[in-house]
Amino acid sequence: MSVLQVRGLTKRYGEKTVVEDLTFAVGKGQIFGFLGPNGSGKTTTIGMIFGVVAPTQGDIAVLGGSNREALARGRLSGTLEQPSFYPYLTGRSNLRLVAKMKGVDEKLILPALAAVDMLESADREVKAYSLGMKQRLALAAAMLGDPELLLLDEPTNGLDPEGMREIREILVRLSRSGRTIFISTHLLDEVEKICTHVAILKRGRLQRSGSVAEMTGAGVSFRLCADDTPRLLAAVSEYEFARNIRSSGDVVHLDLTGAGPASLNRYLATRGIYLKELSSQRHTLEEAFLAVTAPEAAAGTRAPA
Amino acid sequence: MIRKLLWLEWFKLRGRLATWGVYITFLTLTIFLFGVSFYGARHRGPYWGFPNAWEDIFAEGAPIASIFGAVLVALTVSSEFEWRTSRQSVIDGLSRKEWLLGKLLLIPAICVVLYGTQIVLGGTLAFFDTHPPHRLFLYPPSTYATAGLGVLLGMFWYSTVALLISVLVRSAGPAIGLTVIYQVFDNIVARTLRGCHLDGIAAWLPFQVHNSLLQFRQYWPHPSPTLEDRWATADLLMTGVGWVIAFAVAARWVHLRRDL
Repeated sequence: MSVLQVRGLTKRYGEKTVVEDLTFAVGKGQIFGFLGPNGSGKTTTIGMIFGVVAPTQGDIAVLGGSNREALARGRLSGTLEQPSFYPYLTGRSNLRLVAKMKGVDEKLILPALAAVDMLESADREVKAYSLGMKQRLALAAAMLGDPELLLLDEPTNGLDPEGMREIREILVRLSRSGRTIFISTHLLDEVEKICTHVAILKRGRLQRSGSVAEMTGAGVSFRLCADDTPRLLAAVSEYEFARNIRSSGDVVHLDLTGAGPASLNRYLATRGIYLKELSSQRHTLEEAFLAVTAPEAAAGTRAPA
Repeated sequence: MIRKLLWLEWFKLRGRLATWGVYITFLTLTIFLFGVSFYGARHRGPYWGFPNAWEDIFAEGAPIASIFGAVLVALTVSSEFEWRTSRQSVIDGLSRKEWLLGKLLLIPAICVVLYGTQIVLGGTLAFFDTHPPHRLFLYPPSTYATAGLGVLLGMFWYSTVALLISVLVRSAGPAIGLTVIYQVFDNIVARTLRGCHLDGIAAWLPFQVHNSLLQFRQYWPHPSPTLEDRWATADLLMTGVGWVIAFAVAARWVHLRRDL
């Protein structure tokens, strides 16, 4: 069952199309990673889901109804861009405002602050908070009222590694309790650690979507080393089964489709190239991301000839 | 819902240092304004007690109260765009209409507090300077009630201008600046119209109506020969209400059509 269904979503500002014909669905209990380079339309899309940006066309269904209904009933919550608070109020006072807006009992503020380890700083003015502290407070505010769907825009931005780990654990815990989490982030490593599904956006268009296992397990990358790297690179460029050839220093990376490493080795041997190393490695999400967002995100990699 | 929105606005307003800065500045100016009359009456000036002082209390400080009310509204509303809390409020469950309604409810609350401060302060000083056998009122009490409502209506209108400008420019400094500049613009247009012998049209311009609403002489039971634009009280109040509604509807139209 989809808790978030986006169909044909488009946003234009005059002549400029920021999001184009976007269609995807997020299932219940998923941690859905929404990826894309800067300016790819992620924040605009989340803004449309929250109803603060008006779509030019397309439909959004949240928990079987409209986004407005889901927000009004506290079933959908989250953050958009940077955490937004009244800077002159304390963290606790800001949460009192959020609780009032959501119609939630103020008794829930304390556990929410405790969950993000913000109890000690709760009575300080938000203007004195670091970005990481604001992120934690934003997560506490989003969790108030126990929403079924959490949309978080760059939730680990500004956090130190320990803070990132804590937020990751909170998100996983929420997901295990049946909540659905939709996060937009640049940190692919984070996504790979916690997300069950991802969608990759480029210039406002959906490039790929599916489970993380599908994205990373679809292919195997090979690492090749030989005495004469330029000759090796030229030879593999002519090999019909080689795809996505990249070189870095003395190492050549490539994907194989329709042939195995033994065939590649035989092919190279017939050309007088004897490999010093031939090893395989599973694709990472980063490789999948770079493969679909190249060339702007894949600077330094080399396209196949 | 209205109680909830008022609670939210009051909670946000009371915790802000800038709010109290504006209020204390307003209070200081009001003390100066009535203090001068009070001091003058004690030492060398004309009598400043009831019933004469009512006109000063009702109208003399009203332009200051109107400007400070508009400044507070501009500061409160536009800051929410700068901090993006207007957007986050929608994400946290308020609809855009509710958010704007909260700001609209803030306008009468601010105006009543500022104008009430002037009435209480001026009234207290005038009370100490009132000597028998002077009466408390010169006119029927309904005249004072109408004048008070008229002044409040004028203040509502100017704060509604601040609201419209704030949802348009979404930045505190420019919003306050434009709100103040608006009256200069309105006055120039009025002067131009009067120069073209179009006094009747000039009198209907929003800021000219605001100025008329703030003059106690407009509510005298008998006509005042010194008034530039003499309105029938009912017409003046109706026009004031009309301009408040027009600017509030414009603010709503702008706010609901723009992305947050």
